[in-house]
Amino acid sequence: MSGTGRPGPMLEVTRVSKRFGDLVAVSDVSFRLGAGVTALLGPNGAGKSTMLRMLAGLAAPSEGTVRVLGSDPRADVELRRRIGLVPQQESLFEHLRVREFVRLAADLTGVADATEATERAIGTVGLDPDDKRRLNTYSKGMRQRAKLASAIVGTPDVLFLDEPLTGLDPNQRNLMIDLFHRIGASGRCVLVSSHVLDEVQRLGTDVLVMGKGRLLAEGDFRRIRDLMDDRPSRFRITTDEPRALAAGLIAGGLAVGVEIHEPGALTVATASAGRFAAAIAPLARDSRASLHELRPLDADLESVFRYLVEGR
Amino acid sequence: MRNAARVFGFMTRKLLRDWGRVAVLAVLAALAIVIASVMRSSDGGVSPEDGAGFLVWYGLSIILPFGSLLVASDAFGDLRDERTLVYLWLRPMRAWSATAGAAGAALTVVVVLLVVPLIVAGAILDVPMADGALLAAAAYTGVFLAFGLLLSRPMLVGLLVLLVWENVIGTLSAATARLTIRSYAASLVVSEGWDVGTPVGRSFAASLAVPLAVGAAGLLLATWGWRRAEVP
Repeated sequence: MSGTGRPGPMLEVTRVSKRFGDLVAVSDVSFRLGAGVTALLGPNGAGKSTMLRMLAGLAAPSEGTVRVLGSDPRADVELRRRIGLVPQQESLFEHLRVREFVRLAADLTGVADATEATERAIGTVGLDPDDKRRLNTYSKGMRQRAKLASAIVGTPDVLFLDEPLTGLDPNQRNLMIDLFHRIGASGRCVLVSSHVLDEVQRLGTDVLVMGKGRLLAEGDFRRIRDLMDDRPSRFRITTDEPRALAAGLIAGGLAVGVEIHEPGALTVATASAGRFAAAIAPLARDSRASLHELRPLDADLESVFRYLVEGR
Repeated sequence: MRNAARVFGFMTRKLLRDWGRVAVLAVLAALAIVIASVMRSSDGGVSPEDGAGFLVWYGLSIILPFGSLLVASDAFGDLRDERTLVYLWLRPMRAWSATAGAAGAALTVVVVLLVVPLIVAGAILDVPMADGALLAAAAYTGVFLAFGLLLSRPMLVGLLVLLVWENVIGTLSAATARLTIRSYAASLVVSEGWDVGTPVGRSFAASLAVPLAVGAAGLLLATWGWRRAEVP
Protein backbone atom coordinates (compact mmCIF):
# COMPACT_ATOMS: atom_id res chain seq x y z
CA MET A 1 0.00 0.00 0.00
CA SER A 2 2.59 2.48 -1.04
CA GLY A 3 1.28 6.00 -1.50
CA THR A 4 1.75 8.20 -4.49
CA GLY A 5 3.28 11.30 -2.97
CA ARG A 6 6.83 10.01 -2.69
CA PRO A 7 8.84 7.26 -4.27
CA GLY A 8 9.18 4.22 -2.04
CA PRO A 9 7.56 3.58 1.29
CA MET A 10 7.77 6.09 4.12
CA LEU A 11 7.08 3.38 6.68
CA GLU A 12 8.38 -0.14 6.34
CA VAL A 13 7.55 -2.74 8.95
CA THR A 14 9.05 -6.17 8.38
CA ARG A 15 8.02 -9.21 10.39
CA VAL A 16 7.73 -7.24 13.59
CA SER A 17 6.72 -8.85 16.85
CA LYS A 18 6.58 -7.40 20.32
CA ARG A 19 6.37 -9.48 23.48
CA PHE A 20 5.93 -8.38 27.07
CA GLY A 21 6.91 -11.51 28.98
CA ASP A 22 4.46 -14.18 27.89
CA LEU A 23 2.10 -11.67 26.31
CA VAL A 24 2.44 -11.26 22.56
CA ALA A 25 1.22 -7.75 21.83
CA VAL A 26 2.22 -7.72 18.15
CA SER A 27 2.91 -10.83 16.14
CA ASP A 28 4.79 -11.05 12.84
CA VAL A 29 3.40 -7.88 11.30
CA SER A 30 4.64 -6.54 7.97
CA PHE A 31 3.40 -3.61 5.92
CA ARG A 32 4.60 -0.61 3.97
CA LEU A 33 2.98 2.79 3.80
CA GLY A 34 3.50 5.85 1.68
CA ALA A 35 2.10 9.36 1.79
CA GLY A 36 -1.54 9.94 2.65
CA VAL A 37 -3.88 9.04 5.46
CA THR A 38 -4.14 5.43 6.57
CA ALA A 39 -6.35 4.21 9.37
CA LEU A 40 -5.06 1.63 11.81
CA LEU A 41 -8.19 -0.18 12.81
CA GLY A 42 -8.72 -2.74 15.50
CA PRO A 43 -10.53 -3.40 18.75
CA ASN A 44 -9.01 -2.45 22.08
CA GLY A 45 -6.08 -4.74 22.81
CA ALA A 46 -5.39 -5.45 19.14
CA GLY A 47 -1.84 -4.10 19.38
CA LYS A 48 -2.42 -0.75 17.67
CA SER A 49 -0.80 1.41 20.34
CA THR A 50 2.16 -0.94 20.65
CA MET A 51 2.58 -0.80 16.89
CA LEU A 52 2.50 2.99 16.92
CA ARG A 53 4.97 3.10 19.81
CA MET A 54 7.38 0.93 17.84
CA LEU A 55 6.93 3.10 14.75
CA ALA A 56 7.71 6.21 16.78
CA GLY A 57 10.75 4.53 18.34
CA LEU A 58 9.32 4.55 21.86
CA ALA A 59 9.58 0.76 22.08
CA ALA A 60 11.92 -1.71 20.46
CA PRO A 61 10.51 -4.64 18.51
CA SER A 62 11.27 -8.06 20.01
CA GLU A 63 11.77 -9.28 16.45
CA GLY A 64 11.76 -7.75 13.01
CA THR A 65 12.63 -4.29 11.77
CA VAL A 66 10.89 -0.92 11.67
CA ARG A 67 12.06 1.71 9.21
CA VAL A 68 10.65 5.22 9.10
CA LEU A 69 11.87 7.30 6.16
CA GLY A 70 14.56 4.66 5.72
CA SER A 71 15.95 4.84 9.26
CA ASP A 72 15.51 3.03 12.54
CA PRO A 73 13.34 5.37 14.67
CA ARG A 74 14.80 3.99 17.87
CA ALA A 75 18.43 4.52 16.95
CA ASP A 76 18.30 7.64 14.81
CA VAL A 77 17.77 10.61 17.13
CA GLU A 78 17.68 13.09 14.25
CA LEU A 79 14.80 11.16 12.68
CA ARG A 80 12.62 12.27 15.59
CA ARG A 81 12.66 15.74 14.06
CA ARG A 82 10.56 14.30 11.24
CA ILE A 83 8.16 12.27 13.39
CA GLY A 84 5.10 13.57 15.20
CA LEU A 85 3.12 11.50 17.67
CA VAL A 86 -0.14 12.05 19.45
CA PRO A 87 -0.04 9.44 22.20
CA GLN A 88 -3.16 7.84 23.53
CA GLN A 89 -2.72 8.93 27.14
CA GLU A 90 -4.49 12.08 28.23
CA SER A 91 -1.74 13.31 30.50
CA LEU A 92 0.20 16.45 29.64
CA PHE A 93 2.66 18.68 31.44
CA GLU A 94 -0.16 19.90 33.62
CA HIS A 95 1.65 22.90 35.07
CA LEU A 96 2.24 24.48 31.66
CA ARG A 97 0.00 26.65 29.51
CA VAL A 98 -0.73 25.50 25.99
CA ARG A 99 1.70 28.00 24.51
CA GLU A 100 4.47 26.80 26.84
CA PHE A 101 3.71 23.14 26.13
CA VAL A 102 3.83 23.55 22.36
CA ARG A 103 6.76 25.97 22.53
CA LEU A 104 8.80 23.41 24.50
CA ALA A 105 8.18 20.91 21.72
CA ALA A 106 9.14 23.48 19.08
CA ASP A 107 12.34 24.44 20.91
CA LEU A 108 13.44 20.87 21.54
CA THR A 109 12.67 19.99 17.91
CA GLY A 110 14.80 22.89 16.74
CA VAL A 111 12.06 24.67 14.82
CA ALA A 112 13.48 27.79 13.15
CA ASP A 113 10.88 30.39 14.13
CA ALA A 114 9.55 28.73 17.24
CA THR A 115 7.25 31.57 18.27
CA GLU A 116 5.49 31.75 14.94
CA ALA A 117 5.36 27.94 14.57
CA THR A 118 3.89 27.61 18.06
CA GLU A 119 1.12 30.10 17.38
CA ARG A 120 0.37 28.54 14.02
CA ALA A 121 0.17 25.00 15.42
CA ILE A 122 -2.08 26.06 18.29
CA GLY A 123 -4.29 28.03 15.92
CA THR A 124 -4.47 25.10 13.50
CA VAL A 125 -6.07 22.90 16.14
CA GLY A 126 -8.48 25.63 17.16
CA LEU A 127 -7.01 26.60 20.52
CA ASP A 128 -6.04 30.06 21.72
CA PRO A 129 -2.26 30.63 21.96
CA ASP A 130 -2.87 33.35 24.54
CA ASP A 131 -5.00 31.20 26.81
CA LYS A 132 -3.70 31.84 30.32
CA ARG A 133 -5.21 28.72 31.82
CA ARG A 134 -2.93 25.84 32.65
CA LEU A 135 -3.35 22.51 30.91
CA ASN A 136 -4.69 20.85 34.06
CA THR A 137 -7.88 22.89 33.58
CA TYR A 138 -8.39 21.72 29.99
CA SER A 139 -11.21 19.42 28.92
CA LYS A 140 -10.47 16.11 27.24
CA GLY A 141 -11.07 17.54 23.79
CA MET A 142 -8.80 20.52 24.44
CA ARG A 143 -6.09 18.17 25.69
CA GLN A 144 -6.33 16.14 22.50
CA ARG A 145 -5.89 19.30 20.49
CA ALA A 146 -2.97 20.49 22.62
CA LYS A 147 -1.26 17.13 22.00
CA LEU A 148 -1.90 17.46 18.30
CA ALA A 149 -0.47 20.99 18.24
CA SER A 150 2.65 19.70 19.98
CA ALA A 151 2.94 16.88 17.42
CA ILE A 152 2.59 19.08 14.34
CA VAL A 153 4.59 22.11 15.47
CA GLY A 154 7.74 20.75 13.81
CA THR A 155 5.89 20.00 10.53
CA PRO A 156 6.79 16.30 10.67
CA ASP A 157 6.91 14.15 7.55
CA VAL A 158 5.34 11.27 9.41
CA LEU A 159 2.52 11.71 11.88
CA PHE A 160 1.26 8.96 14.20
CA LEU A 161 -2.03 9.57 15.95
CA ASP A 162 -3.28 7.17 18.58
CA GLU A 163 -7.04 7.53 18.97
CA PRO A 164 -6.80 11.29 18.34
CA LEU A 165 -10.52 11.90 18.01
CA THR A 166 -11.44 10.64 21.46
CA GLY A 167 -13.18 13.32 23.47
CA LEU A 168 -13.77 15.69 20.57
CA ASP A 169 -17.23 16.94 19.72
CA PRO A 170 -18.59 16.28 16.20
CA ASN A 171 -17.54 19.68 14.90
CA GLN A 172 -14.02 19.28 16.24
CA ARG A 173 -13.84 15.78 14.78
CA ASN A 174 -14.70 17.13 11.37
CA LEU A 175 -12.03 19.82 11.68
CA MET A 176 -9.42 17.32 12.77
CA ILE A 177 -10.27 14.83 10.04
CA ASP A 178 -10.00 17.65 7.49
CA LEU A 179 -6.63 18.55 8.98
CA PHE A 180 -5.38 14.96 8.72
CA HIS A 181 -6.43 14.86 5.07
CA ARG A 182 -4.68 18.17 4.39
CA ILE A 183 -1.49 16.88 5.98
CA GLY A 184 -1.74 13.61 4.06
CA ALA A 185 -2.41 15.43 0.80
CA SER A 186 0.77 17.47 1.27
CA GLY A 187 2.90 14.37 0.71
CA ARG A 188 3.22 13.33 4.30
CA CYS A 189 2.36 10.02 5.92
CA VAL A 190 -0.44 10.05 8.48
CA LEU A 191 -1.29 6.89 10.40
CA VAL A 192 -4.37 7.22 12.60
CA SER A 193 -5.42 4.49 14.98
CA SER A 194 -9.00 4.05 16.02
CA HIS A 195 -11.40 1.40 17.18
CA VAL A 196 -14.41 3.44 16.07
CA LEU A 197 -15.54 2.31 12.63
CA ASP A 198 -17.43 5.47 11.83
CA GLU A 199 -14.32 7.54 12.42
CA VAL A 200 -12.16 5.28 10.31
CA GLN A 201 -14.61 5.33 7.44
CA ARG A 202 -14.37 9.11 7.37
CA LEU A 203 -10.59 9.02 7.46
CA GLY A 204 -10.51 7.38 4.05
CA THR A 205 -10.48 3.96 2.51
CA ASP A 206 -6.91 2.83 3.24
CA VAL A 207 -6.84 0.70 6.34
CA LEU A 208 -4.60 -1.60 8.30
CA VAL A 209 -6.77 -3.96 10.30
CA MET A 210 -5.24 -5.48 13.42
CA GLY A 211 -6.66 -8.07 15.75
CA LYS A 212 -5.01 -10.00 18.56
CA GLY A 213 -1.64 -8.56 17.63
CA ARG A 214 -1.79 -9.66 14.01
CA LEU A 215 -2.25 -7.68 10.84
CA LEU A 216 -5.47 -9.10 9.46
CA ALA A 217 -5.74 -7.04 6.30
CA GLU A 218 -4.36 -3.96 4.62
CA GLY A 219 -5.39 -1.79 1.70
CA ASP A 220 -8.64 -0.29 0.48
CA PHE A 221 -11.34 -1.82 2.64
CA ARG A 222 -13.69 -2.14 -0.34
CA ARG A 223 -11.09 -4.25 -2.12
CA ILE A 224 -10.53 -6.26 1.04
CA ARG A 225 -14.22 -7.08 1.04
CA ASP A 226 -14.06 -8.23 -2.57
CA LEU A 227 -11.23 -10.57 -1.72
CA MET A 228 -13.22 -12.29 0.98
CA ASP A 229 -14.62 -14.78 -1.49
CA ASP A 230 -15.14 -17.39 1.20
CA ARG A 231 -17.78 -15.14 2.70
CA PRO A 232 -21.14 -14.74 0.93
CA SER A 233 -21.95 -11.17 0.01
CA ARG A 234 -25.37 -9.97 1.07
CA PHE A 235 -27.76 -7.74 -0.85
CA ARG A 236 -31.11 -6.27 0.00
CA ILE A 237 -33.67 -6.24 -2.81
CA THR A 238 -37.13 -4.72 -2.76
CA THR A 239 -39.43 -5.88 -5.51
CA ASP A 240 -43.11 -6.42 -6.29
CA GLU A 241 -42.48 -10.17 -6.90
CA PRO A 242 -40.24 -11.35 -4.06
CA ARG A 243 -41.17 -15.04 -4.23
CA ALA A 244 -40.68 -15.34 -7.98
CA LEU A 245 -37.37 -13.54 -7.79
CA ALA A 246 -36.20 -15.71 -4.88
CA ALA A 247 -37.09 -18.86 -6.77
CA GLY A 248 -35.21 -17.62 -9.83
CA LEU A 249 -32.12 -16.76 -7.78
CA ILE A 250 -32.02 -20.21 -6.18
CA ALA A 251 -32.75 -22.04 -9.41
CA GLY A 252 -30.06 -20.07 -11.27
CA GLY A 253 -27.45 -20.82 -8.61
CA LEU A 254 -27.00 -17.11 -7.95
CA ALA A 255 -27.90 -17.27 -4.26
CA VAL A 256 -26.72 -19.49 -1.44
CA GLY A 257 -29.46 -18.16 0.78
CA VAL A 258 -32.57 -16.01 0.48
CA GLU A 259 -34.72 -14.51 3.22
CA ILE A 260 -38.04 -12.98 2.29
CA HIS A 261 -39.30 -10.08 4.38
CA GLU A 262 -42.60 -8.34 4.06
CA PRO A 263 -43.50 -6.25 2.26
CA GLY A 264 -41.55 -7.21 -0.85
CA ALA A 265 -38.06 -7.27 0.55
CA LEU A 266 -35.42 -9.96 0.13
CA THR A 267 -32.03 -10.45 1.69
CA VAL A 268 -29.89 -12.48 -0.67
CA ALA A 269 -26.57 -14.13 0.18
CA THR A 270 -24.45 -14.85 -2.87
CA ALA A 271 -21.07 -16.49 -3.27
CA SER A 272 -20.22 -14.29 -6.25
CA ALA A 273 -21.15 -10.64 -5.99
CA GLY A 274 -19.95 -9.93 -9.51
CA ARG A 275 -21.98 -12.72 -11.14
CA PHE A 276 -24.99 -11.75 -9.05
CA ALA A 277 -24.77 -8.10 -10.10
CA ALA A 278 -24.56 -9.05 -13.76
CA ALA A 279 -27.44 -11.52 -13.63
CA ILE A 280 -29.99 -9.86 -11.37
CA ALA A 281 -31.48 -7.49 -13.96
CA PRO A 282 -32.09 -10.18 -16.64
CA LEU A 283 -33.45 -12.49 -13.97
CA ALA A 284 -35.89 -9.83 -12.76
CA ARG A 285 -37.03 -9.26 -16.32
CA ASP A 286 -37.54 -13.00 -16.88
CA SER A 287 -39.40 -13.26 -13.57
CA ARG A 288 -41.57 -10.25 -14.49
CA ALA A 289 -40.41 -8.55 -11.29
CA SER A 290 -39.71 -4.85 -10.91
CA LEU A 291 -36.58 -4.04 -8.93
CA HIS A 292 -37.25 -1.09 -6.62
CA GLU A 293 -34.03 -1.30 -4.66
CA LEU A 294 -30.78 -3.25 -4.90
CA ARG A 295 -28.33 -2.48 -2.11
CA PRO A 296 -25.20 -4.26 -0.87
CA LEU A 297 -25.44 -4.89 2.85
CA ASP A 298 -21.84 -5.65 3.67
CA ALA A 299 -19.62 -3.61 1.42
CA ASP A 300 -18.91 -1.20 4.23
CA LEU A 301 -16.05 -1.13 6.66
CA GLU A 302 -18.12 -2.48 9.49
CA SER A 303 -18.76 -5.77 7.75
CA VAL A 304 -15.11 -6.06 6.78
CA PHE A 305 -14.17 -5.45 10.39
CA ARG A 306 -16.77 -7.91 11.62
CA TYR A 307 -15.52 -10.60 9.30
CA LEU A 308 -11.85 -10.04 10.00
CA VAL A 309 -11.83 -9.36 13.67
CA GLU A 310 -14.91 -11.04 15.03
CA GLY A 311 -15.07 -13.86 12.51
CA ARG A 312 -18.72 -13.43 11.64
CA MET B 1 23.76 22.37 25.14
CA ARG B 2 20.71 24.48 24.33
CA ASN B 3 18.44 21.48 24.75
CA ALA B 4 20.04 20.66 28.11
CA ALA B 5 19.30 24.24 29.19
CA ARG B 6 15.69 23.89 28.02
CA VAL B 7 15.24 20.65 29.92
CA PHE B 8 16.86 22.29 32.93
CA GLY B 9 14.38 25.17 32.82
CA PHE B 10 11.39 22.92 32.32
CA MET B 11 12.45 20.47 35.03
CA THR B 12 13.34 23.13 37.60
CA ARG B 13 9.91 24.64 37.21
CA LYS B 14 8.27 21.24 37.43
CA LEU B 15 10.16 20.27 40.60
CA LEU B 16 9.33 23.56 42.27
CA ARG B 17 5.64 23.20 41.40
CA ASP B 18 5.22 20.61 44.15
CA TRP B 19 4.61 23.11 46.88
CA GLY B 20 4.07 20.48 49.56
CA ARG B 21 7.46 18.91 48.96
CA VAL B 22 9.18 22.28 48.73
CA ALA B 23 7.60 23.39 51.98
CA VAL B 24 8.53 20.21 53.87
CA LEU B 25 12.15 20.36 52.70
CA ALA B 26 12.41 24.07 53.44
CA VAL B 27 11.05 23.56 56.97
CA LEU B 28 13.41 20.63 57.63
CA ALA B 29 16.35 22.67 56.36
CA ALA B 30 15.32 25.71 58.37
CA LEU B 31 15.17 23.48 61.42
CA ALA B 32 18.90 22.86 61.01
CA ILE B 33 19.50 26.61 61.27
CA VAL B 34 17.18 26.95 64.26
CA ILE B 35 18.80 24.06 66.11
CA ALA B 36 22.28 25.34 65.27
CA SER B 37 21.32 28.75 66.65
CA VAL B 38 19.93 27.23 69.83
CA MET B 39 23.07 25.13 70.29
CA ARG B 40 25.24 28.16 69.73
CA SER B 41 23.34 30.31 72.21
CA SER B 42 23.25 27.69 74.94
CA ASP B 43 25.25 28.23 78.11
CA GLY B 44 28.90 27.60 77.42
CA GLY B 45 28.29 27.47 73.68
CA VAL B 46 28.93 24.31 71.71
CA SER B 47 32.16 22.74 70.58
CA PRO B 48 32.83 22.46 66.83
CA GLU B 49 32.97 18.68 67.31
CA ASP B 50 29.45 18.59 68.76
CA GLY B 51 28.28 20.97 66.08
CA ALA B 52 29.78 18.77 63.40
CA GLY B 53 28.21 15.72 65.04
CA PHE B 54 24.78 17.33 64.78
CA LEU B 55 25.24 18.46 61.18
CA VAL B 56 26.65 15.12 60.02
CA TRP B 57 23.74 13.33 61.65
CA TYR B 58 20.89 15.68 60.77
CA GLY B 59 22.27 17.19 57.60
CA LEU B 60 24.36 14.56 55.87
CA SER B 61 22.54 11.47 57.18
CA ILE B 62 18.93 12.59 57.13
CA ILE B 63 17.72 15.64 55.27
CA LEU B 64 20.26 15.74 52.47
CA PRO B 65 20.02 12.08 51.32
CA PHE B 66 16.27 11.77 51.85
CA GLY B 67 15.61 15.21 50.39
CA SER B 68 17.75 14.40 47.36
CA LEU B 69 15.81 11.16 46.94
CA LEU B 70 12.49 13.03 47.05
CA VAL B 71 13.60 15.54 44.44
CA ALA B 72 15.88 13.63 42.07
CA SER B 73 13.90 10.40 41.79
CA ASP B 74 10.85 12.47 40.97
CA ALA B 75 12.48 14.32 38.06
CA PHE B 76 11.99 11.46 35.60
CA GLY B 77 10.02 9.14 37.88
CA ASP B 78 7.08 11.53 37.92
CA LEU B 79 7.08 11.77 34.12
CA ARG B 80 7.21 8.00 33.85
CA ASP B 81 4.30 7.56 36.25
CA GLU B 82 2.25 10.27 34.53
CA ARG B 83 3.20 8.87 31.11
CA THR B 84 4.45 12.26 29.95
CA LEU B 85 8.07 11.22 29.41
CA VAL B 86 7.09 10.70 25.78
CA TYR B 87 6.88 14.47 25.23
CA LEU B 88 10.57 14.83 26.04
CA TRP B 89 11.86 11.51 24.75
CA LEU B 90 10.39 11.96 21.29
CA ARG B 91 12.35 15.15 20.67
CA PRO B 92 15.53 15.07 18.63
CA MET B 93 17.99 15.65 21.43
CA ARG B 94 20.93 13.65 22.67
CA ALA B 95 20.27 11.52 25.73
CA TRP B 96 22.82 13.45 27.77
CA SER B 97 20.96 16.70 27.08
CA ALA B 98 17.91 15.32 28.80
CA THR B 99 19.71 13.71 31.72
CA ALA B 100 22.19 16.54 32.32
CA GLY B 101 19.37 19.09 32.18
CA ALA B 102 17.28 17.08 34.64
CA ALA B 103 20.26 16.41 36.92
CA GLY B 104 21.14 20.10 36.91
CA ALA B 105 17.58 21.00 37.83
CA ALA B 106 17.36 18.45 40.64
CA LEU B 107 20.76 19.51 42.00
CA THR B 108 19.80 23.18 41.87
CA VAL B 109 16.63 22.53 43.84
CA VAL B 110 18.50 20.41 46.40
CA VAL B 111 21.23 23.03 46.77
CA VAL B 112 18.81 25.91 47.21
CA LEU B 113 16.46 24.08 49.57
CA LEU B 114 18.91 22.00 51.60
CA VAL B 115 22.59 22.67 51.01
CA VAL B 116 22.48 26.43 51.49
CA PRO B 117 20.65 26.18 54.85
CA LEU B 118 23.14 23.51 55.95
CA ILE B 119 26.01 25.81 55.03
CA VAL B 120 24.34 28.55 57.07
CA ALA B 121 23.88 26.17 59.99
CA GLY B 122 27.54 25.17 59.61
CA ALA B 123 28.60 28.80 59.73
CA ILE B 124 26.65 29.27 62.96
CA LEU B 125 28.43 26.28 64.51
CA ASP B 126 31.85 26.99 62.95
CA VAL B 127 31.66 23.81 60.90
CA PRO B 128 32.70 23.98 57.21
CA MET B 129 29.71 22.30 55.54
CA ALA B 130 29.98 23.60 51.98
CA ASP B 131 32.24 21.00 50.35
CA GLY B 132 30.75 17.97 52.06
CA ALA B 133 27.13 18.99 51.55
CA LEU B 134 27.62 19.98 47.92
CA LEU B 135 29.44 16.79 47.00
CA ALA B 136 26.95 14.62 48.86
CA ALA B 137 24.12 16.39 47.04
CA ALA B 138 25.82 15.78 43.69
CA ALA B 139 26.32 12.09 44.44
CA TYR B 140 22.81 11.43 45.73
CA THR B 141 21.21 13.44 42.94
CA GLY B 142 23.02 11.49 40.22
CA VAL B 143 22.13 8.12 41.73
CA PHE B 144 18.49 8.93 42.45
CA LEU B 145 17.96 10.52 39.07
CA ALA B 146 18.93 7.18 37.53
CA PHE B 147 16.63 5.35 39.95
CA GLY B 148 13.73 7.52 38.77
CA LEU B 149 14.33 6.62 35.16
CA LEU B 150 15.23 2.96 35.54
CA LEU B 151 13.12 1.63 38.40
CA SER B 152 9.40 1.31 38.66
CA ARG B 153 9.50 2.10 42.41
CA PRO B 154 12.43 4.46 42.76
CA MET B 155 11.29 5.93 46.07
CA LEU B 156 11.01 2.54 47.74
CA VAL B 157 14.37 1.32 46.45
CA GLY B 158 15.98 4.65 47.34
CA LEU B 159 14.61 4.46 50.88
CA LEU B 160 15.98 0.94 51.25
CA VAL B 161 19.38 2.04 50.00
CA LEU B 162 19.50 4.95 52.41
CA LEU B 163 18.14 3.10 55.41
CA VAL B 164 19.92 -0.21 55.00
CA TRP B 165 23.09 0.70 53.14
CA GLU B 166 23.97 4.20 54.21
CA ASN B 167 22.57 4.11 57.73
CA VAL B 168 23.16 0.50 58.83
CA ILE B 169 25.81 -1.27 56.79
CA GLY B 170 27.84 1.91 56.42
CA THR B 171 28.10 2.34 60.18
CA LEU B 172 29.16 -1.21 61.01
CA SER B 173 32.88 -0.68 60.52
CA ALA B 174 35.45 1.61 58.97
CA ALA B 175 35.70 -0.79 56.06
CA THR B 176 31.99 -0.77 55.20
CA ALA B 177 31.88 2.99 55.72
CA ARG B 178 34.13 3.31 52.70
CA LEU B 179 31.15 2.17 50.64
CA THR B 180 28.88 5.02 51.70
CA ILE B 181 28.58 8.52 50.31
CA ARG B 182 28.04 9.90 53.79
CA SER B 183 31.47 8.82 55.00
CA TYR B 184 33.26 10.79 52.28
CA ALA B 185 31.09 13.86 52.75
CA ALA B 186 31.52 13.75 56.52
CA SER B 187 35.29 13.44 56.14
CA LEU B 188 35.28 16.91 54.56
CA VAL B 189 33.31 18.33 57.47
CA VAL B 190 35.13 16.97 60.51
CA SER B 191 38.67 17.50 61.73
CA GLU B 192 41.02 14.67 62.60
CA GLY B 193 40.23 12.89 65.83
CA TRP B 194 36.61 14.04 66.11
CA ASP B 195 33.95 11.48 66.90
CA VAL B 196 30.75 12.34 65.04
CA GLY B 197 29.12 8.91 65.13
CA THR B 198 30.01 8.16 61.52
CA PRO B 199 33.24 6.47 60.45
CA VAL B 200 35.27 9.16 58.71
CA GLY B 201 38.95 9.53 57.95
CA ARG B 202 38.83 9.36 54.18
CA SER B 203 41.61 11.24 52.46
CA PHE B 204 40.84 14.69 51.11
CA ALA B 205 41.36 13.53 47.52
CA ALA B 206 39.11 10.50 47.98
CA SER B 207 36.49 12.64 49.70
CA LEU B 208 36.35 14.87 46.67
CA ALA B 209 36.69 12.20 44.01
CA VAL B 210 34.37 9.46 45.24
CA PRO B 211 31.15 11.49 45.59
CA LEU B 212 31.82 13.13 42.24
CA ALA B 213 32.45 9.73 40.65
CA VAL B 214 29.27 8.32 42.17
CA GLY B 215 27.26 11.28 40.89
CA ALA B 216 28.80 10.97 37.44
CA ALA B 217 28.14 7.23 37.42
CA GLY B 218 24.50 7.92 38.28
CA LEU B 219 24.30 10.40 35.44
CA LEU B 220 25.87 7.94 33.00
CA LEU B 221 23.46 5.26 34.15
CA ALA B 222 20.54 7.62 33.62
CA THR B 223 21.83 8.51 30.15
CA TRP B 224 22.13 4.84 29.28
CA GLY B 225 18.64 4.30 30.65
CA TRP B 226 17.27 7.17 28.57
CA ARG B 227 18.62 5.57 25.40
CA ARG B 228 17.19 2.15 26.07
CA ALA B 229 13.99 3.25 27.79
CA GLU B 230 10.72 1.71 26.64
CA VAL B 231 8.69 4.86 26.94
CA PRO B 232 5.12 4.38 28.15
